[in-house]
Amino acid sequence: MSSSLTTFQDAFSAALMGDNDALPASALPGFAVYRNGVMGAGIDALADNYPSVERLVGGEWFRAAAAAYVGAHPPRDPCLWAYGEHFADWLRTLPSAAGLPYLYDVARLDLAWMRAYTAADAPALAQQDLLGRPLGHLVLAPRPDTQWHWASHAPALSIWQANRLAQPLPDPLPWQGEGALLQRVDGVVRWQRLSQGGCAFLDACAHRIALPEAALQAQAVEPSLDLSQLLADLLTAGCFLPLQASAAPQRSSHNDKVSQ
Amino acid sequence: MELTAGIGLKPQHFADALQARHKGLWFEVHPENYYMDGGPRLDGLLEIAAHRPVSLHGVSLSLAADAPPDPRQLQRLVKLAARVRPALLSEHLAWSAWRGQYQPDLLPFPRTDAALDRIVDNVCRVQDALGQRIAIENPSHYLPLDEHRWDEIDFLAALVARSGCGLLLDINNVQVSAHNLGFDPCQWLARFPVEAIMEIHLAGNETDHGGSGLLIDSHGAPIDEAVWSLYALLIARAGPRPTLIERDDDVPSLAELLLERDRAQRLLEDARRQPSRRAA
Repeated sequence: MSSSLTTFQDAFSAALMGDNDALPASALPGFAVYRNGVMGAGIDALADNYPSVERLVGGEWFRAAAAAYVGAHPPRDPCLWAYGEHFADWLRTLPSAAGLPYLYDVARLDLAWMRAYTAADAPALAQQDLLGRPLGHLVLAPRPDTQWHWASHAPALSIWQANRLAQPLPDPLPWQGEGALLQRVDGVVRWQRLSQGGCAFLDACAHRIALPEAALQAQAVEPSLDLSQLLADLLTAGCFLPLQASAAPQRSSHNDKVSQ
Repeated sequence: MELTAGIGLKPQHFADALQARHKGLWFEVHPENYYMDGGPRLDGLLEIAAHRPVSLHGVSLSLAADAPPDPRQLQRLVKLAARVRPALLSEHLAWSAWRGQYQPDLLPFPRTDAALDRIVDNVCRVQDALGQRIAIENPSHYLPLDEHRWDEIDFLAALVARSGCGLLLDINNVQVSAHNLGFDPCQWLARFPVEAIMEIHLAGNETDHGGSGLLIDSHGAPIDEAVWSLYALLIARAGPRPTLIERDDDVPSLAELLLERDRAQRLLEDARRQPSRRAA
């Protein structure tokens, strides 16, 4: 590295992070333009990516929290439409958010929305593709736009949907866990309810766990789950990649090389 | 198709952009906003690109950082360019990525011999990867830097001569910088190496809400009359060049942006009819 430029950039970066001694020019009004620009772009990106969270908590609280997040987790990638991957987890650590235990789940659903919106196009496994196939070792791989989230302690889908669509909350709102399945259909992100067992089943599929074990994991969290109905519903919704891409491990030798 | 006056394109304008029938109209986007794997935003850009010339105007290659461009970002640009087949490719004379962090702004650097060497090398790397000449945009300035060793115009001319790149002349940036640093924008433009201009940007600016008196390159307002005047003078000297209306904040309807675009188009047509005064 040519040291004069490196030295300048190290000093400028430190000054952006608040070290006022790092760069003499940081005392000038013009430096604040850059400092505000960097911070403002990070906050605006979070507001774009987490609109339901912002609506839920209000603009002032959101921007203060977002500023703290930008300080703690500054962007590392220029694709700001994907910035804030850890925002939900980070919100959970905020003492000032302790009164909103569902905030994490609402943020997770905003994140799921963006992932569904920007995922690669992919064909879907159809129900008839499974006809006559032994299911014992079958591994079903979720399509890239298939996103899901289970909130055990709050009606997070109802709260998220009301804020996402700027609608009033359902009244009455039964205070119970809710799960959501999000997918992109013809360019539009759509969502529906998904039970705890359904979410656990998709969790297992995403970890490339074969069908019988995935079913056991789903039933472990939801003993009353109708597995045949769940599988039919998920297949009808087009949640999985075709088998040649999702791969049944025992059927051909090259399957180990197929990655998802 | 010869590029005349175009508009910075936002996803909310995709449908209207496809309907627009303006002769010579073209569009420009920041490629970083389209680096996703799929979905309607990327599909929309590709549909536009199938019907109209599209320019990719990058904000993140960080050419003035003391490091080569991030290979991953360069690869993303190459991949998108292969799909869009852009009529123009451009980047900024600034830095934003440094030591693994991305500062979402266009940051200044001291114009030194070392900086010139590094930027020439970075521009050549990008042009080699793309197989295409790129245009480099003059920045907006907010800070006087004691570390400068080069005059800005001389620096731009040397960059062109050594890398073979072209220039993207942002006239709003000239207006903003002239106000903030206290120089005469007409004199600055009179020295600008107009033969290297591949594209011109026109945008709006605002006075700093913080009370500093600085002009901010906000792209959030209509184009200032002073910028229009500088533009008319410039193309009278340089001749018509592809010209883009930029708007990134408080974005109005496409119809409203097309009014500004049509004004630039008329000035370009006037310039085309007049012999260039450059030789005079």
